[in-house]
Amino acid sequence: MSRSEHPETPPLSAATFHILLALAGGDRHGYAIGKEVEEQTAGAVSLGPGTLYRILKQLTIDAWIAEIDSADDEHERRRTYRLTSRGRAIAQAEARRLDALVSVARARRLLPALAR
Amino acid sequence: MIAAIFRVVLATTPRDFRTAYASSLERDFAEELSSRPSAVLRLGYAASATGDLIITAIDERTANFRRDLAFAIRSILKTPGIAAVIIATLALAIGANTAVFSVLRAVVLQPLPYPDSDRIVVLSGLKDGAPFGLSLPDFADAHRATQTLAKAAVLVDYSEEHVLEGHGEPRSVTLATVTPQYFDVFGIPPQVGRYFEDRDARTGGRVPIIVSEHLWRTALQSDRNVVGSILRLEDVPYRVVGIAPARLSAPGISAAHFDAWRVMSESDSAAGFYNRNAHMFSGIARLRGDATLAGARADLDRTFAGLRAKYADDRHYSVSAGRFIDDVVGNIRPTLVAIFIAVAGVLAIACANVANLMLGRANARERELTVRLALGASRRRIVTQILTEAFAFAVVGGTLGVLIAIAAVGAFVASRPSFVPRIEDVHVEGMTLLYTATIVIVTTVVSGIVPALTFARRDLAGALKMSGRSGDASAGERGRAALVVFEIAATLALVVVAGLVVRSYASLTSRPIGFDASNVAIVGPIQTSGSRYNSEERKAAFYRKTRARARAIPGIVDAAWSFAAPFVPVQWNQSFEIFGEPTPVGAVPSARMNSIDDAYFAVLGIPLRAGRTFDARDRATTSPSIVVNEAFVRTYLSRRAPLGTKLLLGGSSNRTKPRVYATIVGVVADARGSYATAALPTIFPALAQSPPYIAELLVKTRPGVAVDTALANIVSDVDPRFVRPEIASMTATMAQSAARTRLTMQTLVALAAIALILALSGIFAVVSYGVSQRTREFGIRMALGARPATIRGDVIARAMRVAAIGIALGVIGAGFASRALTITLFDIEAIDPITFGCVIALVTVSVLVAALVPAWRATRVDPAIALRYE
Repeated sequence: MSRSEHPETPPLSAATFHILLALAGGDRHGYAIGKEVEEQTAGAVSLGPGTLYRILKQLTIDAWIAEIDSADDEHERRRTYRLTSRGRAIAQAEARRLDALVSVARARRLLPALAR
Repeated sequence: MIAAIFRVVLATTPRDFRTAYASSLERDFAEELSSRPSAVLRLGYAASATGDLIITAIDERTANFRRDLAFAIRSILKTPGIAAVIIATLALAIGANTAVFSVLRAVVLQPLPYPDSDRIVVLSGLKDGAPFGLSLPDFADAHRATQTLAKAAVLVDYSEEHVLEGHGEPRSVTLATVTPQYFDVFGIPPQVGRYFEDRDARTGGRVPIIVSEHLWRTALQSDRNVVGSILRLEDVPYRVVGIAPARLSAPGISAAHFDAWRVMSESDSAAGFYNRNAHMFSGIARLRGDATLAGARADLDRTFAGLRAKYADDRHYSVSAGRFIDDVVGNIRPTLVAIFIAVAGVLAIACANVANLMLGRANARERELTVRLALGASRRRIVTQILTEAFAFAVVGGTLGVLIAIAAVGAFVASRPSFVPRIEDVHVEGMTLLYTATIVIVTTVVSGIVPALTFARRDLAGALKMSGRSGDASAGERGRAALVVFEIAATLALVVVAGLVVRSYASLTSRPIGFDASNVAIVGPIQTSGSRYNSEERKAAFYRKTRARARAIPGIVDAAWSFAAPFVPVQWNQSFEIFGEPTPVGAVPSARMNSIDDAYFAVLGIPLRAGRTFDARDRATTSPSIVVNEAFVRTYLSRRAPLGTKLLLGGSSNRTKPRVYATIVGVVADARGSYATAALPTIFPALAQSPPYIAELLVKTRPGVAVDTALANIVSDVDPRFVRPEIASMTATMAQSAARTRLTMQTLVALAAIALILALSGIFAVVSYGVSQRTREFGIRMALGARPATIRGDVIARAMRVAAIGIALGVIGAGFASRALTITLFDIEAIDPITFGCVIALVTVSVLVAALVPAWRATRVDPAIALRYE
């Protein structure tokens, strides 16, 4: 079902999904996104600055995220990003896809069954 | 420091990326860096971040190109018809250029396969400035006296054919005669054994011989023990001293492939070699030390000036020295260069045409491109996009072109054109592909730049406002008109050049040749040598018997032996004296010799002008009779009656043979020996009285009768030790002699035709586009009562204005091109008014026709419909 909503969207790259997840928690500027990704993966995923902005550029073009004005810095404006509704839908679709995969993994006893 | 490196890498990212994110990246980098507690950790982060940025830069840059390429391919596929035309045009043009370049490279540009081959020079004798052959004593004196020549040798200007027996099938061997240093000139070691040494010329007994790698491999089973053994050619035993490597069998100074070389020995004095009047040698030498060709020329001129002062016989002789490579490829070079330039011209025209088609496509996509501009795509991106499209076309066209070139070159090499030296080296290889790759890049730029710039300059707002249909496309239209002007100019120049070569070829081959070549076959040459034919009687008997057999074959009208049939490249010059006339010292007259039997003039239909031809009276035992041609009478006997005049053949300085006077019994009309030269003064001795060592049988057949099979056996019927002779028709032999000019003509005509078609399709496209842009204007004018003829005239006049500029420029270009071509033309003035006139008329009419269809379409517009479009 999720595939039919966004037929043009292949499984997301890990880095892209992490960025979408970071923004799902609220608007952030680039540097903060990088930090958030590091935190939510306990340091397992660390995005280089080039990779980070390259993905942010592509996500902006695809309108999964949007740049917003922010006033959290007095001297210079930082580029701050917000998840668009489209981006949110795609992140949800990806989460569902992964969830389905995890269910399969449980059914095959790769993971312990969830407690009821 | 660390930050500086990061900034440098940052500068390599594409501009759009940099503009958007550079400050964020720098700040993030600095913040992250300062959060690391130790220098080691900071360094580690800096390294990984910089590496990440490098990868990002590469990804971003190629992403643009990949996106452009994908877009280009998608948009190409949207208009498959035009795309196919563009690709086919480029494939043909690039293929033709690749093919011609691979021939030019292998035949003309590549150095000869010898060390320092540009230091090898060829020495040719001159008589009164015209080529005539060197004499051995002159060469030997000159070699001794000069300071500029190291190793040097001469080679006899004719080669001999001998039959090799006892090694499988009897086969014919081409034997050259050279002086000892011949092989040392080339500077490559022998395959096996040794080359000649100076003492080889002095030893008696078996004459030393060197065998070619080819003969050694094919007839002697590559047996190394052949060296030192005796090889019999017919009845003559030779001592094999070495095997020459394959590179030395290549066309040499006589452009022939040799199977073996024998050293010239002092016992050859009987052959008349050591005679200052025997001009039958070509020389080859290597420059000494740091000597230059100019220095060698000056040195040789000085030496020959001394010889002319010392020997009365040498008064009219000199020598010329030229590079070996020029001797090998000098004849073909202007032809190939002319074709190369023509084919490059076709590529330029093809590029113009592709640019034109792309402009047309771009016009059709005007709104799309304009919208992209309006949406913020930079002009640079649009230009890059159009160039990427041109690149995609050029790469596909180039790939197909290489395949076309491989097929074309293969077919050309397989046809074994005898007039192209080093043809065996011709193939499409690395160097050629590099050249093709260069062409692809050049094609991309040349065909893409006009459409790209036209669009980059376009007024965005205006184009949008006019909704793209009847918008102001004048910039594009002017660009396309300029392309068409160029196409017409280049095409006109190319057609003129092709026209000149056609006229030249026609004039060459329609010259009166002075004999009837129809239904004449040439059998041979047959060489009668060895102990079986060691007397004139035996030779004469062989000729008599074989001719009798030929005449008995049904369908054969007559047959005649001849030493040198017309259009067969054999030369025998003989000096002579006229009885009763003092011969000026050092100016011994000379003429072509051709021993013939009595039916020769009848077979070739050459009319008798005075006296008689040979008959039964002319036997070996009677006093020698000769026939001369009219050119001979004009040149030497203008002041006396030719019949009855006696000639001393060989001149008074030939003391090796008894002095025999021959009497002129007849005078015949002139016949050409080749297309390129007029009939030369010729003496015809009677074959029965002086049978030559080599001759061809000329056979006149009834029309439509095939006699080749019967003829093939006549020689072996008489003497089973002969190999089968070659049989060729006279007309084929004549065609062969003009093959180079014919191929040049065919190639240039084909190229001119392609150019004309391209230029006309260019005109057609531009006029059609112009008409479609003015549909509304025509509609209004016709609604206001303009006559269709006026509208048509208007369209055609516009086309002709463009054409007129192209034609004017083309005439100027053709003037320069044909002047450069003069050397390869026969009988035709470079600025030939007939050719120029015809070509201008042809191009004008063609343009008219190409403009006619769109002009007609312009008047078919229904005014109501035309106006409703708005």
